[in-house]
Amino acid sequence: MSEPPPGKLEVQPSLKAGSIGFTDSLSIGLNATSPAYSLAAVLGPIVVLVGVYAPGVLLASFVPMLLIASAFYYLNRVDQDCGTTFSWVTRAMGPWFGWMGGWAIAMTGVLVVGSLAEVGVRFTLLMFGRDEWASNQAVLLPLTIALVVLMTWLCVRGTESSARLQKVLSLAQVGALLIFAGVALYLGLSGQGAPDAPAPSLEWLNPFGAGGAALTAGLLLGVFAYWGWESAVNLNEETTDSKDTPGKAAIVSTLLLLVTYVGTAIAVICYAGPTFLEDNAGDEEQIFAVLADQAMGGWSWIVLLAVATSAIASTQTTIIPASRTALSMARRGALPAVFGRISPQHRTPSVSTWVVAAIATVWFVGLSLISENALYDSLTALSLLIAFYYALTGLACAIYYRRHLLDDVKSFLLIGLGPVVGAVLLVWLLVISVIDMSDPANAYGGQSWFGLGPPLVIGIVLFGLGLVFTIASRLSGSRYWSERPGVVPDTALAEHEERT
Amino acid sequence: MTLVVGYDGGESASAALDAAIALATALDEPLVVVCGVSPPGGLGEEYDALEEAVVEELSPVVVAGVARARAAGATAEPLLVDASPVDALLTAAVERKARMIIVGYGSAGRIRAALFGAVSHKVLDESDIPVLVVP
Repeated sequence: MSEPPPGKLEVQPSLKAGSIGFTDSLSIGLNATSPAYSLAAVLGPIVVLVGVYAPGVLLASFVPMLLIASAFYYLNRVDQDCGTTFSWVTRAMGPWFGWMGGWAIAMTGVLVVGSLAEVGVRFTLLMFGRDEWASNQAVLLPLTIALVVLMTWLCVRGTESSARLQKVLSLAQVGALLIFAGVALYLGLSGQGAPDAPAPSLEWLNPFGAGGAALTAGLLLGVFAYWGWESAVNLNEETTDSKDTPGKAAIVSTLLLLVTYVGTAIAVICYAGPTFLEDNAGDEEQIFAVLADQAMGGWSWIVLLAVATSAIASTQTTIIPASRTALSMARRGALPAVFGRISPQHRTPSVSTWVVAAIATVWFVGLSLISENALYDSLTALSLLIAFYYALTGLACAIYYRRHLLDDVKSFLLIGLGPVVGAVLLVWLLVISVIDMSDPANAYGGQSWFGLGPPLVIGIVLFGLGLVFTIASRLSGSRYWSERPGVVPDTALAEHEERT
Repeated sequence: MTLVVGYDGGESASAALDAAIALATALDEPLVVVCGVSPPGGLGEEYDALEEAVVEELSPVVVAGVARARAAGATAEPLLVDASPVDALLTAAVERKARMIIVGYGSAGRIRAALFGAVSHKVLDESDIPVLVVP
C-alpha cells in the first residue's frame, strides 16, 4: 500500500457517473429558464407595451435566441469548460472581452435573485388567498428577504431536492401553463371572455405591429423570457453522451418554451381583450395572477402554484452558479481569497454564497425603494446585460471557429452565419433600446433618472462597475491577462469526430 | 475483504473513524477511509472549480484520518470519490469488495434527517452489505 501523497489526493470516478441523459438535461434546461416565473414576470409588461402583438414579440425574441443556442452548442463541443461564455469569449476574443462577458453573466445571476424571490412570495400569498398582502410592500419586502436568506442557507447546507422531483416540477410547470392557456383560449373563443375580446388573428404574430419604442422594449423583455435555457448546455462532463446530449436538450427545451409562451400570450389576449389589459397597465405585475383567477376560478391555484414553485426553485438554482463563479474567480486571484473558502462538510462555497445573497438583497431592497416599477426596471436592465453577453457568445463562436466556417454548408450556416446574425440582432436591439431609453418621453410609467430611463441608468452603472473591476483586475496583473485569443484546436474537433 | 469508513473531518465522522479503527485492528482487516467530493447543487457553471476546491480542502483531512488509523496500528488507505458522500461509500464498498460500511449518524435528528436526508439513512437504504452506524 503506497503512502498517501501530500496535498491533493487522486479522485476516483463514481460508479454513477454518466447517468444524466436527455430528459434530465431537458428538465434542467426548462428549470433554468423557469417558464412559469418568466411568463408571470414578463407577460403583463409585454401585453401592456405592445397589446395584441405580444405573441409576435415573443416569437420574434425567439429568433436571436435560437441562433445563439447554436453558438452554445458548437462552442460546448470543442471547449467543455464549465465557465461557458467567460471561457469561450476569452479564448476567441481575448481577456478584455472575456472579463466583460463574465461580469455580465455574474451580475445577471446575482441581480435576478431578488425578483425571483419576490414573485415566489407574491404567488404563494395569492395561492393562499392573501391578495391584499400580495400587493403590500410592507409584507412583500420582509418576506422576500426572508426567502432569499432561507434559500441561501439551503444552498450553503448543500440541500437539494431529488432529480426526480425537479423533473416532475419542470414538466408540471409547463403542463399548468398549457392548461391555463387552453382554458383561457376556450373561454375566449366561446365568448365567455371579456366583451371586447378580439378573435385570434394571424396579425397578432406580426412582431412589428406595435412599432417604435414599445416594440424594442417588448423584444428586450422577450429575450429575458428565454434567458437561462443554455444551462442545459453547461451540464458538461457527466452527461451520457457529453458532447451532443446537452445541446440537443437545449434546443428541444427552447422549442417547448416557444409553444408555451406564444400559446399563453394568444390565449390571454383572446380571453381578456385590450381594454382590460390597458386598464391594468399600472399593475402589470399582477395581470398574470388576476387572469389566472378569472379564467380558472377555483382551480387558479394550479397556475399560482406552478409560478410560485418555479420562482422559488429558481432562486436556489440561480444562487448556486453565481456563488461558484465568485469562488472560481477567487481561485484565479481575481477576487480576495476569502471568496474561495468552502465548507468542507457541506462541500459548498459558503462565503461567496452568502455574499451573493447579500448583494442580491441590497440590490432588490434598494431598487424597490427608489423605483416605481422595480420589477420592470430590473428585468429590463438585466435584459440589456443578457443581450450583451449572448451577442458576445455568438460572435465568439464564429471567431473561434473561423478556420472551419467554409468546411461545409452546415458549418457555415450553424457555426458562422447563424450565431453572427443572432449577435447582430441582439446588438441592434441593444443599441435601439439604449437610444429609446435615453429619451425620457419613452420612460415606462413616466419615471426618469437624470433624464434617462431607469433601466438604462442601471445598465450604465453596472457596465461602469464592470469596467472598473476589469481594469482593477488588469492592473493586479493576474496570470489570466496573459491569455491570448486563438482558434479551435484541431485536436478538440478530432476528439469530437471520434466520439460520434 | 476490507472495511469502508466515511470520513470528512466532522464530529460524527470522527466517532465513526474511531469505531472503524477499533474494528479494523480487532479483525485484522484493511481500512479504506472514503470521502465523496462532488459538490451538491448539480452540475452547471464552474462545477469543476468548486470540486477542485473541495478536493484541496478535504485531501489533508482524509490523509490525517488515514494517519490516525495507521498510528493505531491499522492498515489504512485514503479514497476520494467523485460522488456525493452516499454514492462515494457505496462505490467504494463495491470496488473494494468491502464486508462492512461504517458511517457516522451525523448531526441529524429526526426532523433534520427528514428535511435534509442523512447520509447514514441513505447508505442503509441502498447498501447490499452490513452498515454500522456510529452515534
